[in-house]
Amino acid sequence: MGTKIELPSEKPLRNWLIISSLTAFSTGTLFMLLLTTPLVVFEGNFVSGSVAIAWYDLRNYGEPVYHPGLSSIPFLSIPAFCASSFSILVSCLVVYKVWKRNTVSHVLVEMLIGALEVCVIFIGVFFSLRLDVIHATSAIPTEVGGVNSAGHLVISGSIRRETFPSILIGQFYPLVILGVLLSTIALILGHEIAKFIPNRAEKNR
Amino acid sequence: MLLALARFIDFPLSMSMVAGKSMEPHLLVGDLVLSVKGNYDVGDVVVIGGVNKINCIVHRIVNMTEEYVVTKGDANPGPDGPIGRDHVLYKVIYVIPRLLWIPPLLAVLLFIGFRYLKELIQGAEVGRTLITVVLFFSILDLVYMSLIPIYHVHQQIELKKPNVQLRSISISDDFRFFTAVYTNVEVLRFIRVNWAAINAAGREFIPENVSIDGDALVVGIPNEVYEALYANSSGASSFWVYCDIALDKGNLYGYYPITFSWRKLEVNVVNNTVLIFNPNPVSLNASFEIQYYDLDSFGRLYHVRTNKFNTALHSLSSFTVRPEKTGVTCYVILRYVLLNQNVMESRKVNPVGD
Repeated sequence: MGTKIELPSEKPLRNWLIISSLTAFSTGTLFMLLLTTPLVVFEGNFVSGSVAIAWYDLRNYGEPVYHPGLSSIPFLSIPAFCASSFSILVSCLVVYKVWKRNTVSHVLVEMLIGALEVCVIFIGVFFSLRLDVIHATSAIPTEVGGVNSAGHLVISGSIRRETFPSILIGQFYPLVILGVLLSTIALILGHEIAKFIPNRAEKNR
Repeated sequence: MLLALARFIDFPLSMSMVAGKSMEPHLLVGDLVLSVKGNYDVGDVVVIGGVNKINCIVHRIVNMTEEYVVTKGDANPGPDGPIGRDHVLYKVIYVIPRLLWIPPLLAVLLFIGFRYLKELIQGAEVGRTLITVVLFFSILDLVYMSLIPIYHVHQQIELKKPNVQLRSISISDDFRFFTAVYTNVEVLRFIRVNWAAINAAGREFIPENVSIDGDALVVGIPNEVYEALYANSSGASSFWVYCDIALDKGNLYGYYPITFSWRKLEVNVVNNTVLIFNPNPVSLNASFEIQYYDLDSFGRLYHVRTNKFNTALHSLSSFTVRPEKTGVTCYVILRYVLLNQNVMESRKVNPVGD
């Protein structure tokens, strides 16, 4: 078993720790928001309600609708919830340590780097979850009425609208930019702590 | 892990976790199902793969042909669409209830996790924590992705859709009312008739009496409609009833054609009386001749006299011709014009009078 290495919270490591923590915190919060905010909204009497990755509430003329596909998708979001919570928790811990104690253990910093890397991985997961939601909701009919023996039945249907979070996840470039940003910060932080770790390890010995 | 990934790598044994409520109460959310490749039959619960094998269904087979399989979730109102037999990946052979595996697994994971975390916090080799964090979340996500069969997201769901269909259209025996009876009225209610119109012989007529009676539309037909039709008709006549019915959720625009035939006057002799009935919805002008005959001393018929008169035979009403007590016999001759054609009817009445 190795020993715990306390890294000094000095510039520029201190700055990079705060930047990394804020990035991890923001990404974790963004992921939480993407999980819980509706990606698709149905407006109208026929079908109304909202669909997020983690939940959905659809109503057909006021009565709740059970959608097998949408009911299953929240289960896939559990790892994403865990990753987001982890990122938020670790970033808060790091900020606390940096502000209050001026030292931070290498374990916590590695956790922070891990959280950033996990966020990169989960960008793809969000892309996939969003596709599941879009596919499931696109199969929900929105138009009613038509022509039959009684005549032309004109009934106002519903409008299916994708919200900004869905458009954001659906875009390729913002996600790639976010991924590159997170990876870069993780790499820089790794590089910064690598300067201290050999010296500190020797001192601890 | 191998079992969880089995459906991607074509392994003979597979394990999946139920993530939907479609198979309740047989399978609950969180139950693990062990499944094998092999023969299956109607009634078996099978794992069906979608286009990509991430989206799988665990449903029961309700019908089967040599090429297709029809499945249904026990809790679903209707069956799924037929799918090719090659989409059936596994047959479920054993179910591990969620209460049997989730609590023990959580306890073990918490115990190991706590010890591991304690070790990490106390001090770990450089890089170990980083690898642990990344591996943990990657494996967690992979396990979830591979273990959970997601119900096929493209499946159409059953929604209550407003519907109304026409059962019958008719006009009343007295030609005064048009009735459209609706059926299969679902998820909607008739409120009122916004407007209605009748198109006959190229003209539009606005009916005065329009109403909704239960699930039926009743439209009063003005006499002018029939008069216009009669003036322009050379055989059967048609007119259209247009309507805009306000529903609680929208509108119904109906266009209903009605066809009927013009008929000759019904002429019958009952008790030495000639009864004429006009079955048409318009009045007809008729001219009558009543020719009286008697016998001379040689027993030959001779014409005594003729009475003539004209009258209007009103719609759907009867007219009675009662000859006088003159001679031994008489002929009632009726002439009228129906659809620009002269029609003559003759009836012998014998004996005559009261």
